[in-house]
Amino acid sequence: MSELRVTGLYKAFGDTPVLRGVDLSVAQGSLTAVLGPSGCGKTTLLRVIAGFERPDAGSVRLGDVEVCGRGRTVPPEKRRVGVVPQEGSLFPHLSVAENVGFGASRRAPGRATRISTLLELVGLAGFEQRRPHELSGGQQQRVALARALLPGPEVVLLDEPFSALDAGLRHAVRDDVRDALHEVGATALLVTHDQEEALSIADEVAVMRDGLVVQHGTPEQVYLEPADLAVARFVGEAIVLEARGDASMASTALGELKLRGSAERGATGQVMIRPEQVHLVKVGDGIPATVQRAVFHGHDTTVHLSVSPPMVDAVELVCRIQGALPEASEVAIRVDGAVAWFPR
Amino acid sequence: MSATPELSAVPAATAPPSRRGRRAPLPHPILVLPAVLVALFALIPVAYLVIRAGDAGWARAFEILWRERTLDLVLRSLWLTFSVTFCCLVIGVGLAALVTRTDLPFRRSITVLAALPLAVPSYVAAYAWISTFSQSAGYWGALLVLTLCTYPYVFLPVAAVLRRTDTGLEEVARSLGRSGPRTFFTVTLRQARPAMAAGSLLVALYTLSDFGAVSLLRYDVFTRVIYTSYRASFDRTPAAVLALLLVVITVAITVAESRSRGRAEQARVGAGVNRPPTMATLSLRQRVAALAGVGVVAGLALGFPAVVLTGWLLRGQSAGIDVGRLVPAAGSTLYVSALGALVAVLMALPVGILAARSRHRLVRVTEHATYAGHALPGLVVALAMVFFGIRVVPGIYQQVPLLVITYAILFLPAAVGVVRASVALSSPRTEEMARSLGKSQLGVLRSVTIPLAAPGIGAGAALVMLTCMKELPATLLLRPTGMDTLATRLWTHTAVAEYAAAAPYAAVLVVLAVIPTLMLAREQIGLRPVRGPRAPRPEEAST
Repeated sequence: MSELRVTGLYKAFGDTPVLRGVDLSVAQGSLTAVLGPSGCGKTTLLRVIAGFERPDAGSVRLGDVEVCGRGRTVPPEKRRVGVVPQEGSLFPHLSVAENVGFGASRRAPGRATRISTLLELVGLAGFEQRRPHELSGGQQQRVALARALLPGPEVVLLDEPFSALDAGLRHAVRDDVRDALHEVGATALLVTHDQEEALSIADEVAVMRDGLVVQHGTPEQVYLEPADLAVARFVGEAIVLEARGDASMASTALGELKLRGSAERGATGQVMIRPEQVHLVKVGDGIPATVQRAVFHGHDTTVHLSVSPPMVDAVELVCRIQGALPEASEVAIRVDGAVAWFPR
Repeated sequence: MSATPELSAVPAATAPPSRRGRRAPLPHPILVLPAVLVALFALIPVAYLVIRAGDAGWARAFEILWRERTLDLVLRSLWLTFSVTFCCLVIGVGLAALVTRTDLPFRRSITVLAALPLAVPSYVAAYAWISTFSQSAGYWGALLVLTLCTYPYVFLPVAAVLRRTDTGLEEVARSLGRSGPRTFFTVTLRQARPAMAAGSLLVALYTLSDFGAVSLLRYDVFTRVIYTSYRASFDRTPAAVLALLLVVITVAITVAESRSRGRAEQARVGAGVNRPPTMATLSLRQRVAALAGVGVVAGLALGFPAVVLTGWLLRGQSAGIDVGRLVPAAGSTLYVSALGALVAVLMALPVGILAARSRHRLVRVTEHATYAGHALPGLVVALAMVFFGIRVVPGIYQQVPLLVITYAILFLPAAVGVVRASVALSSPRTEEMARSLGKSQLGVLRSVTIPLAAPGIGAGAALVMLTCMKELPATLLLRPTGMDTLATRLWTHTAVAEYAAAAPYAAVLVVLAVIPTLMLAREQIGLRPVRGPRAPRPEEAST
């Protein structure tokens, strides 16, 4: 497995630019999730890396090899890039074992052993002779992963591999796939529009928007220190407040809040608070707030609050609590931890 | 706190490179080259017709077109076409509504029964009628025979659509105060309009192209006049000119139909799962009337030919069936038909594979060129190939190769359709997978595309072969001297009123035709349950 490096990729379909200069690198043996809304170009990026599309400009390097760049394009079959597509795309005329072994010549030594090792790795030992239509969606995805891994690819690309699965199955398959990728030390790039999936499965997350990577960092960085407000809102629920900066603090309608990083003294801007940072406390211990409504989700409850500080407009915010709802509608809140700062 | 070291926000897009995104790339020349050759090949008949018609000078061609006899001929042909199409619409839509939207008993059996007349070649039906009632010659006989043989072309697609339409629309119409019958005519049938148009097109083309039935029934429409003029005189210019005129008419009808389809609005707004349609409850009296109607159609279309055929067979038996002639005729029918199907499918391969895979302009043009045969009557293609054979390849004129090539051109549209549908079974995604796993372009073809497509193409080839076996006009004009097929023997015997001698040939032909008809009916109406996650889409199987 080797490092994947994408530089300055540009691609247009007709007059519509889809990739507008994408830079991205995936460290050897790590899993990076490309997260973005539909239409942001993430699938095109993946198809360019796999060699199914030719970029208009830019280069793709796998380790020391430039597979696509100035005047040179390595065809997909020579790239050693494994692909796990959205619908699995198993060959319907082949058995599970034949599907997994597709990437190796029939006479390759140790082929059969390798097939059964990989099927075991994805939890499908004993399914060798099944036909694709006899498998569930999750099983098809696991076979597709085993098939992609068999030729020992440099990089594995996964295109929304879990989106066709129902919620319960999705978690199980997702964990198994991550474990299997770690087990073989694969360099992997996973494309998804599901922020929870990206944050939970990946070592690093690259957020794409309008054909560009707008932020690339660890899941914590992307969630807690988003590059801009749009990323903040796309990655999770966000409470945004007007604020005035003062070195490591900012003054807001909810009082003085600690900042991640620092702000220029007196600068105006906004702060972003995640709902988990807002806690309900005993009346008198925090800022007074009024419960507007509460939505029960089972594992937790979302409480919509309104805070009316003196001299400023009322502020709407949400927080998540576990356990019973406060009986009184008048409560108090406290904000824990540092918040992200976006100067104007 | 943290200094966000890896937060690499990109402020603006890099300047777009000057190169614009390209259009669909031209596929591999190993497929494109043969496809273009096949397309040119398929255009030979039209080209030769034009050349031959122009040979005598355009003044002479105009003189032939300007005759009053020609105008009569056009009007007679169009009137027959119109009346057959109208009758087929009434019978086809009526039966389709009965079996899909009412609680009529025996609906499934009636569905199969109603599709079965497709299995009766029109000249066999004509043989049944003319051999029993000599009065059935002329317009009324032609109308009756052609209607009974072709109404399934309307019935099948309309029944398929009525089974699948969005019943939600009908329920809304009912809830807005429209009565049941009014809803059926204003809402349900509107949705079926494209199917009705497509079915009518097939009926109209069949009627204009039909040669066997109108000839046996001695009704002078285009095909019969062209044939007699070709046979009767050494001057073949009138035949060529009239054939060209017929082509203009069939092409005009085809274009008109596809235009009307382009404008039809049949969008389904919003998602949702289709529910099975609600069935109208028939009163006892309505049931009896409906069953009687079905009985009359089935009796005339199936029962009558069956009884007549059996009668002649029995009568012929006493005289002794001429096995010495039946067996060689069956043998040569099998031989030339198998060759024809093989060549048709081979020619269709590059075109069909490309059509399923590429949207390049050149590919679309080649595909459309091969569909030209769809609008060309068999007799016209045969005539053009006669001219072509005499002038260009006299060595194989009235030899098996030219007949086989003519079959291939005639049934190329069907073969291309089958190949295209079969190749579409392996999605481009699946093929990309194979490439990422190390297969070259040709390797993908060998290990994925062909294995997936082979069963469908095989079944398609069998269908084309069965169609070749029933073919009459091209066989009549181009068969090697002394060779007989089942169709030509039936023709020869019937033409001289040897009805008992013709019966065994008619019987064998009907049996041969039943097989593809049953396949077609099962697929179109969905009698066969859909298996597996990716069931092949039924495609129009015969022309």
